[in-house]
Amino acid sequence: MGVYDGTLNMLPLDFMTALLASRTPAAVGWLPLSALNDSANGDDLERLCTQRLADVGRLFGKSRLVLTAEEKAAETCMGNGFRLDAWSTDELARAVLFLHAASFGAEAEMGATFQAWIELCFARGDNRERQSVLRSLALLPDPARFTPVAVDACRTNVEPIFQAIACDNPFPAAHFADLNFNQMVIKAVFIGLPLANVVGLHDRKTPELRRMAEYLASERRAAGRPIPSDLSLLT
Amino acid sequence: MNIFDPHIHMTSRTTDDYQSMAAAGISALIEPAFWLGQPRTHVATFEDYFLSLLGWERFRASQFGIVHFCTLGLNPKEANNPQIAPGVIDLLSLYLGKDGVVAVGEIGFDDMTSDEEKYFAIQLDLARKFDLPVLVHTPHRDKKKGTERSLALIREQRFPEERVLIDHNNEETLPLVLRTGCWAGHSIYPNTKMDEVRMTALVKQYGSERMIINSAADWGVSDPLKVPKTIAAFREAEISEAAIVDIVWNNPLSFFGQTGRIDRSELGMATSIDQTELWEGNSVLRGQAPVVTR
Repeated sequence: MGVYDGTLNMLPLDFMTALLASRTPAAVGWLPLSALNDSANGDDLERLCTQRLADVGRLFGKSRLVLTAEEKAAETCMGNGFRLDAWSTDELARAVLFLHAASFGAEAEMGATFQAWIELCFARGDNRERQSVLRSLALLPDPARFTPVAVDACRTNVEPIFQAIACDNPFPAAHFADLNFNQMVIKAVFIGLPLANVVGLHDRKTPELRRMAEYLASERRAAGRPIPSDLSLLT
Repeated sequence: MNIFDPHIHMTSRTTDDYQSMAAAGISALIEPAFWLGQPRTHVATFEDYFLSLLGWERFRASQFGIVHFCTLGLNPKEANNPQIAPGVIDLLSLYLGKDGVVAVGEIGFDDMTSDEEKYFAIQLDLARKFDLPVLVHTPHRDKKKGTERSLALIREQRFPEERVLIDHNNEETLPLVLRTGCWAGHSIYPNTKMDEVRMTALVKQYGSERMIINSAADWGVSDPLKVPKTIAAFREAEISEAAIVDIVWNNPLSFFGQTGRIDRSELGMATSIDQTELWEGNSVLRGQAPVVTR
């Protein structure tokens, strides 16, 4: 595991773990997740991981991550679209836990499957736990299977949860059907989130999305209400 | 003047709201079943919600002299959840026959998915079976398209248009609705959906026939007094009293009462209040002296 060594070709989990350790050394003992290794009983493991998710905010704090230039360079190992300075420390710690659970082969050990566990982490999560699930989805093995969770998350009225899936997250552009992607983009305009932060938007622009943007502008004009400036990015 | 607010989610409001609504002349309201700000994860929580609309909330309203009706339905957002949607539809046939249930709703479109369309159609059938009108929510996003698709579906299903209230209209959807036989609802909201000034302009342009207004107040930024406030705006714009009474009393009564689910004799008079009453052993009072008017 070790401290982040500046290597550009790290695996996402190693990079994220090193980054987390550099921010909250006191909590580093938590990182090896030895309990994950030791646990023999599937049900206990699932419960233990779920409980750990709840402890994270107190252990690691919730401050926004600020990356150094060197760390920004290393961040590219996560793939296009991730911007960890949109994340907070507790979100990073939960993502590390999810990836550990996947990489330790917990999938086989858990009573429920890994997929069902992730879905439960979202369903039973508080707002920040839900945000953490959404930010992590694209990093999990076989991410496409989590598309229903991500699509459903877009129906939330809790803005930080919506933001966690809609902004600085490569998942929607990679996996959403047009209908769901378009609805997400228009909702982002509705609540005033910057479209510049919607990953992959340029490649997902369609005549239908353009029409929806034009209808929204027309509706606002008819109501005498201001037209969001970001709409021009869609037309 | 008697005022009817035919769309307000009182479960999310306080007793202060009930008091100021009653003081402003609101004597009857309809609470449509909708979602609660975040998705439910079990069918059973829907059942408890339906029961609270039929039980505790109706009692709470009565303690302030307001007659409480409700509409029951599977809302479009949660129609997308395959874990709960079929179970809620099963529940509806146990509850739609209850007294005080005046329509199926809110149904309609949100994201305009195929599941939303499927449960919209299923609930039109339920409305037919239970001889009820329907309250149709129109989406926040892509509203005009959503309204067009709602009207098209109602036509395809041959559901009687005079039994359909299309809600949350704006300048662009209202003419589409009035062109059909459906009724047109307008939610007067701080800043967004529709405001008093815009509503006044719509009444001046389109008249009062089949026109209904509501506050749609809920757990978000909203105002349970928007119907009386809009009446004030109508008067300032010299809209006739007859038109105003149609919009805020006669029209909602005619629409929701058309299949005999509203007993007009219970309405239109100062309802007696007896705050010494209890609901399953619970009172709305917290040590205050009860108000009793007869």
